[in-house]
Amino acid sequence: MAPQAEARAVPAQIVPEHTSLARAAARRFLRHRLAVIGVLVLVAVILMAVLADLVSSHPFSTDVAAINKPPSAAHLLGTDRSGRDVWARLVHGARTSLTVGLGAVALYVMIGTILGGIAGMVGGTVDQLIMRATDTLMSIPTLLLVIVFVSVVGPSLGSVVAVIGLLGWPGACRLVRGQLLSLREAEFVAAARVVGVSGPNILVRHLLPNIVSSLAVLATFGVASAIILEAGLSFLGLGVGVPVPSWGDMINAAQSPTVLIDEPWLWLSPGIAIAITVLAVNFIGDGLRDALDPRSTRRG
Amino acid sequence: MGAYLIRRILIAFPVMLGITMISFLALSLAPGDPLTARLDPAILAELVRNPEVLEQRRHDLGLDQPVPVRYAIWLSGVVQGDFGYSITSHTPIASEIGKRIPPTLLLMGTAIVIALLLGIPFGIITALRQYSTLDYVLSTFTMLMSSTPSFVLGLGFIYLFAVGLHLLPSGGMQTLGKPESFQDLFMHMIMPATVLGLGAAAPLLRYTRASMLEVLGSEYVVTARAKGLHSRAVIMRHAFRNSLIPVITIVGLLLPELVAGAVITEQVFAWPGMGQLAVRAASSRDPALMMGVVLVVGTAVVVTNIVVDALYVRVDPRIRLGTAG
Repeated sequence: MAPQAEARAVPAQIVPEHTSLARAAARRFLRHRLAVIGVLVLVAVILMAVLADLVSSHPFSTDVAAINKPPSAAHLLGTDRSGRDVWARLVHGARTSLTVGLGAVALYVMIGTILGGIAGMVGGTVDQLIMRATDTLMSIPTLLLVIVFVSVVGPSLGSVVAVIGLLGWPGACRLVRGQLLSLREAEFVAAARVVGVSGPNILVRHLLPNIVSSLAVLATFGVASAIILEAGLSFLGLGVGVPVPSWGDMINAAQSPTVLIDEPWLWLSPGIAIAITVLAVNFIGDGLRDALDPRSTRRG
Repeated sequence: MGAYLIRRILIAFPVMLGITMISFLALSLAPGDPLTARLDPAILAELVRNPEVLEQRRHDLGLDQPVPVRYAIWLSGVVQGDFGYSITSHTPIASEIGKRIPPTLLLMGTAIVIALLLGIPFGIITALRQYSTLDYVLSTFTMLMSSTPSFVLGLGFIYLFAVGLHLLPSGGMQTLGKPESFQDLFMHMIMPATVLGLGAAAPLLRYTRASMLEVLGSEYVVTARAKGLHSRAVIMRHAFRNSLIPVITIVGLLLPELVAGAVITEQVFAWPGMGQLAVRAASSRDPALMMGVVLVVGTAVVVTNIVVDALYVRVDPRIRLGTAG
């Protein structure tokens, strides 16, 4: 955002400036071909998840006539050992993955923004305390703590979202605090203060909008990691819990050698689904980073 | 530098206390009675008729105390090397953990070596040949690597190399019924170490490349080139050494992720290490075992981070001489 436009602090005059910046960012994003493909793939996955009940049968319903069958016309991706349709479990598993990815990240971006905002604005002992907590959480493997907490609250969709959300905030917190500290000294903020804009107003009007783009990039990559984390937890049997369809849980079956060797359709499709979804989200993150931060070096 | 290290070590203690306290509190909130959970149902039925005996047992174990007191009891035991007993296997946790540390260290050490050997050279090459075919191929590859969960990659490896080609054993640390030999161990380690190493190599390559590109664009490299220095000398003497400084921090930052990767990789390849133990502790709801794992893994990560920091201080004179950071 251009400092002159900010200093006037008249929203009506900022708007045209803002939209043209947004348009420039959108243009940069659209030039990133892989990111555009990523958006298309992700939209397809989201549609699949939302319309899961329309595009497939119920994930719990069993077909006794077809137990453990390879892909066929009746069951596109085959059936598992209870006669459940793999395609149905796959599309309903997309729901689980996206719920965890979006839910947990929304939660921790919120917590991180609040804590980082407090640390950056208040400073002093509060800042020190929050930053030590951040360092501590960052230096310990999240998966280990997640395992501790999931073993306490028991596996369920809600607990996975809550646990990842409650433990994932340090990155966002550090980002917000760091940005606040450097932006606080920026001239347009000093100008706003001179004009008489109140503290909270400066935070909401002038500081946060400048942090949003970095947060969006962090959140996008965060969604990718959260999807992988959920799949990993479910693979270990510590994720969303048994009846809930999850890609990680579907792959869990492949730990038995007979499934791995003789029934590859049971684990190949969820494995590919995770990889494609996460890849799409990562490409979007890459594109967003290039689009929102023109100074960053463009990756190949 | 001495003062800096001492400060880091002093900070590490409250950090470890904090981690263990939070974990202890969480685990003590878990449903179920830790005493009745470990009793034979027949004995339990007997005890329900004689509640005094149960209360006595509970008192003896300190389980009737409030959580902070129980934490203090646990901590004083740990200081003396007593981690308590596992509910599921009834063996001392200290010896259980002791058995599992060497396999995990071996696996992670090998994985780190693989990650460094792949990540750093290829990171430098792709930076030197930016936008070349190799650069595109490798950046696609790293993107694929960081998007594929380690268990999917691991199962793919087993399917391909163990089941399909019969080249490598599918899991474990040694062939059952065969005498222990280095060759056998090596064959068992190839797949898990490669899966874990590839996962860490991808981000390492990306950071090395970015760091090298930044250094290559800096003024002193331009100066070195301008005064006519041979390009290999510029790369090795000026660019490479300086680009390694941030890479060292990344290795430290990757460590927690590597531990997480090890938990899953050990599960996939039935590698008898700490990660498997952590999963067992969680799925069998064994709080004492879980606490032991958290303490040992947490301490290992914190100590390694201090070592990485010390290394960082050594290679970067700006920090060593106190002009920055």
